[in-house]
Amino acid sequence: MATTRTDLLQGTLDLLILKTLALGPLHGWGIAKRIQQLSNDVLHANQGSLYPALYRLEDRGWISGEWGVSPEGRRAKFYTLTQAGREQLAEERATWRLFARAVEAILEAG
Amino acid sequence: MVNWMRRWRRRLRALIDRQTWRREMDEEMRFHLDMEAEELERQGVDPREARREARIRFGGVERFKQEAREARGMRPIDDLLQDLRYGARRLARRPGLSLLAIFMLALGIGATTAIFSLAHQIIIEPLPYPDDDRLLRIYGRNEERGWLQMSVSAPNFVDLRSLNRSFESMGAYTFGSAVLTDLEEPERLSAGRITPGLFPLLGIEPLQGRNFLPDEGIEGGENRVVLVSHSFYTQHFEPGTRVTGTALTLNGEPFTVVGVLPPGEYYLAWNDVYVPYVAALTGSRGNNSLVVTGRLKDDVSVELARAEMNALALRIFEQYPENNLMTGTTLRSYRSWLVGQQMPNILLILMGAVGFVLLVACANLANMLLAQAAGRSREAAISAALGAGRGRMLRQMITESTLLAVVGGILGVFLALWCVDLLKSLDPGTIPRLAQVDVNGWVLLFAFVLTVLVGMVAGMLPALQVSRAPIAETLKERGSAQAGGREQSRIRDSLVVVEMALSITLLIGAGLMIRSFVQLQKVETGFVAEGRLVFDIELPRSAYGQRDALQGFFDPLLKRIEMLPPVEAVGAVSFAPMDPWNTNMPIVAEGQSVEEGQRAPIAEWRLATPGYFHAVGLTLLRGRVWRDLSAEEYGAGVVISESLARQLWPDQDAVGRRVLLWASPDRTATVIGVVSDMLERGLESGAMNIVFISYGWGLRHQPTFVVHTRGEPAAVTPSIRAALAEIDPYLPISNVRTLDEIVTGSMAGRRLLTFIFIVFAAVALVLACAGIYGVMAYSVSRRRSEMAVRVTLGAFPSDVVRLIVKQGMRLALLGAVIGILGSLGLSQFMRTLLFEVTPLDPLAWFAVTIVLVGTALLSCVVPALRASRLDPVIALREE
Repeated sequence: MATTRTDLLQGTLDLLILKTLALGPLHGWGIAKRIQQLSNDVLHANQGSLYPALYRLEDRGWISGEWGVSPEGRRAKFYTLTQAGREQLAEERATWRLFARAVEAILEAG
Repeated sequence: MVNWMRRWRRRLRALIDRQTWRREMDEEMRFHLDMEAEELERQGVDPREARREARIRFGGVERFKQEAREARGMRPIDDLLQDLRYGARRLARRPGLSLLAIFMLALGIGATTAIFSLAHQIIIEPLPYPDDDRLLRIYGRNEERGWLQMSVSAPNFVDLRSLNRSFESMGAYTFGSAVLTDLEEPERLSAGRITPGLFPLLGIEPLQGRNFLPDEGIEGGENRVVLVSHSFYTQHFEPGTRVTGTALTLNGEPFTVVGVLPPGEYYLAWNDVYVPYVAALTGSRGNNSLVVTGRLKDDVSVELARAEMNALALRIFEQYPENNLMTGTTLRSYRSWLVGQQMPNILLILMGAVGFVLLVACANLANMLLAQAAGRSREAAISAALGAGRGRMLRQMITESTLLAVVGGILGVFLALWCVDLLKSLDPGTIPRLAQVDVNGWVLLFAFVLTVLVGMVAGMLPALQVSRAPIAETLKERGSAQAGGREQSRIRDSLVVVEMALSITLLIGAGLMIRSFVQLQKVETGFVAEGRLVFDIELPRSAYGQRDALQGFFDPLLKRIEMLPPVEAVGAVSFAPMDPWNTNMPIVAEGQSVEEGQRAPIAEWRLATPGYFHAVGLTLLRGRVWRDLSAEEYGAGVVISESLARQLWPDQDAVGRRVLLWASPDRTATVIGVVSDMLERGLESGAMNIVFISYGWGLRHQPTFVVHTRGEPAAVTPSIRAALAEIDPYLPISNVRTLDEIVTGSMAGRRLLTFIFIVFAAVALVLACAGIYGVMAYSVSRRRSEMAVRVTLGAFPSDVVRLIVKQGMRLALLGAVIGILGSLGLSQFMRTLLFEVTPLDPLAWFAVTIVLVGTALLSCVVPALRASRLDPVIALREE
């Protein structure tokens, strides 16, 4: 498991959180699991680092957190993507694609 | 925008409700760990192992919490709150020292704020008139005779007003008085006289009724109208009553109230009532009695107006040369007229002085904090070694000193309020606009900025000191033995030197003021003040307009008063001694001509009764005085003062010679007597030339009586009232005082200023001595073991005392020398405040040095004695 752990690039985590929440509201643990699943367990983040990122995104107004009850019947904080967050996601996605293509091009050239 | 607001609202909420925010964050993370552990358990992991694994996967909980807080953008506020809490705890741990610091700061900030509130009102705050910078006081001017600021005669005023093009409007004011006889007792009122245009031009609007109408200021118009001041209104009428249309009897004539003025300063406070002044073209052009005000047109500069007015005055003079003295004009800003030319200067000097006091307090605080910082350098070094940021440590210390300053500043504002009240009760009327001074928004802003500045400055020095200290060195250094490092003690020493230098500068200022005051008391007045009662009687024109009536009043009254048992002598004069009235006139001896470009001698004129000279204690040197108030005796001539006689006829007897009063050939008079000199316009102005003219002239002029009595002067007042009532029951006696009070009163302004200087100097001296004491006590406590070793090795206690005193006195003397050198220059600024003392007065400087050295010595001896009584065994064991 440890071998597959990849440190997330700075900023990438924000993009992943936004993408995850685009599918629907989730609590912190749920976001972590979803990222893990969607990335086929490759991205196995230092789970705690999710939280500063969540607070930062909330502070910027891209996501909003609200206390609710989890399917297990426990109190949990659920995050929803805001309209501003949706716009941000589109923008970051475009930026990421551009970046990834550029890196890919360089690697191919090698 | 909305987003931005929402973000800050969230931050604010998180800040205010930190507990909830933190709890929620804890809960959220705990939920995460629980879910992760449960999932692991479901995969078959042992519960305890599952919990451990979940934690590992999560990472450092505390670290993420800290990061989360930062993500919220709350770090700066968090830090500040933490610094404040920590600082407050530290300060509370040393309540004595903290209170002392707060007290010092309150003193410094309070005094500075109080003086600033004065300066703000007097120098910065606009006058209570709209567009006050367009208002000018217009004086007459006669370059040839050296009169630069004369009042203006009525015909000249009328011509200037109608012919000029520079001013929107012009108004005139003159003093006057009236007797109100509507009450049980006749009451003397000050009744200012104004042209109808004056108040509208100043923007003064009555609360009730109206200003005077233009018609009310011309001859033949309805002139018997009166505007009453607010204080007159509140004294004589029920609040809220409408009084317009009410009849008042002034000087025996019926007047109608047309308006009630608002409360306020200057014109609104100067007089009880106002009546119209009828400015006519008839009358002498030499009777200069009007205070003229003009409002400049918007597009006219002062220079332009000055040029026009000068040309105009000259034209009028050439057209009407008879008796006319006005050959030019002087225009002066209204502010400089109302506030006085000296006042801004005095205030700047006081601001400087109080600034020095504040600097001493500041240096003292820095010194105290530095001493604390020494004890703290180890703590700081440990924190630094553990990774605390230098900036954060610096900020912590500055937060602490600012905290002290803020508490001191708040107390200081209260102190300032109290000081202003105290000043208001002490001031004898020498400070303009004082009644309007208060601690307003600007003053509070000043106090706030000052407080923050003081906190920063006082904290900066020790903070830099601590944060700069090399960590390893500090940790190795044996704190107690090395007195917190050499550099640090050098800084503390220089702070003490600075304090001493500042204090001696202030002490020299105070010393010079005291010397001036002493000099003032040595002034020979020329008259005798003891046992002299002084009072005024207002003679209404209606009853006493004629010469005979006047004589019929004076003769019996003076006789009756003279016959009262305790009375030695009595006389009347047109102006009380030391009255600051300017009544000067040019005077020339007959047969002598004033050379081109030379000025004629100037003399004050006084109307007097024959008994006046004896009553005030003047000596008749040659000739005689009038025998009575008859017309023949008046015609015999005038009595002049010794200095005038000497000036006009050096080396010759003046008696029998003739003079031209007002330098006018129409007014010649023979000198019948010469009396000794006396001061007329205050102690600081020196003896004046005086020409005494007999009241028998017939000029109705409100007389002031001087009565020389045996015993308590005030005791004779009732008998005088009774004597007056027998002659005319409708005449009031007003302004009853003693000549002693007049003399003392004339020194009141200087006394107040001297008092303020002494207080400032004393505070600075006490603070500076506390500073030197602190440094010495600290140094002694740090050198206990060294002292113990010295004593053990055979040093006498006196050696120890000498060692320490020498160390302290070196600082004090160095400070004194620096301060004295600085004062050589600074004391020149005080020149205008001094009286018969040079700024370099050796006595003041010497005395001040003794005082400083003496108190400094005392502050060193106490810690030194304590060190000498040290038990070496105990001291060494402490190590």
